[in-house]
Amino acid sequence: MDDGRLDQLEQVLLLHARGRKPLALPAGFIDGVMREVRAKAGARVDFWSVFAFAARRFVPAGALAATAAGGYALMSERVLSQALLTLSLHGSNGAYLVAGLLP
Amino acid sequence: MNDALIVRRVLAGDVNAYALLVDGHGARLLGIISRHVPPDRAAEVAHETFTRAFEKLDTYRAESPFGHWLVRIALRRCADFWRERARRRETVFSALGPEALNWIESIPSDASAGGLDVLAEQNEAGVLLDWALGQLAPDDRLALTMTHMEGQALAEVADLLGWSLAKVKVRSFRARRKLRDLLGHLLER
Repeated sequence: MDDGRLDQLEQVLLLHARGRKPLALPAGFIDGVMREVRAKAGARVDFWSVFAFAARRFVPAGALAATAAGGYALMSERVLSQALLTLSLHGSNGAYLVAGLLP
Repeated sequence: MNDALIVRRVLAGDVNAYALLVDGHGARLLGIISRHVPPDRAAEVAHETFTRAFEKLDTYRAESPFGHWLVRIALRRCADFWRERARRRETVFSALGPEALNWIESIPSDASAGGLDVLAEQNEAGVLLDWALGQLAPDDRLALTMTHMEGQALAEVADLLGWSLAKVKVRSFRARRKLRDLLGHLLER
């Protein structure tokens, strides 16, 4: 390969890159950006208003579900404690008693 | 009004105030972007940069200038542009077109021949430059453009791109070698 020519070609391309004139903003650039920005801002507001509306509607059902889940967890915890106590008192024979306790 | 105040206004719900930021930084940002993507696509990338910046505006910390933060987003968009293009990259020389291929023939091998300035001003130089840069990996391209073509300091490039100094050096060296390989193959063709 002719290294001299390669150096010259590289030099020409560097000169061209450095000599590139900065572009002017095209007409309507700011308007175009702002149109999209406003649409995005609107979509963001829409999302949160829909979310808040849905959240308000589901608050009673959510509260009921949370209470039921809490109650079930409490009952299961009590049964498990009883089962462990039975097993520790009666050893392997307690398995029958435990089976009777399980919901 | 300074940029940090405008950002606060936008975040408080005054979306129209964002136009002040676009107006204040648009021309400079377009100038930077046009050195990293083909000039006919620069406005599109600048547009994407501003909309992306708007989406991420709540992550802007006024510790550094807003323009600096914007340039970082712009550079990432430029890298995305080349990543997208790399998926359908054409490495065939015929993609350059006959004018650019003929123009290469006019490159002298003798440094004393002169006339490089005239050659550099021709449209074909831009076509070849964009083609050659388009063959590089996006990060290599960024490093090469910023260090060799814009002549920015390595530390400045590292800061803007969020890279280590060593990474900038390696990328920039590797990119220049790749560019020379590409141009060498083109001359041997």
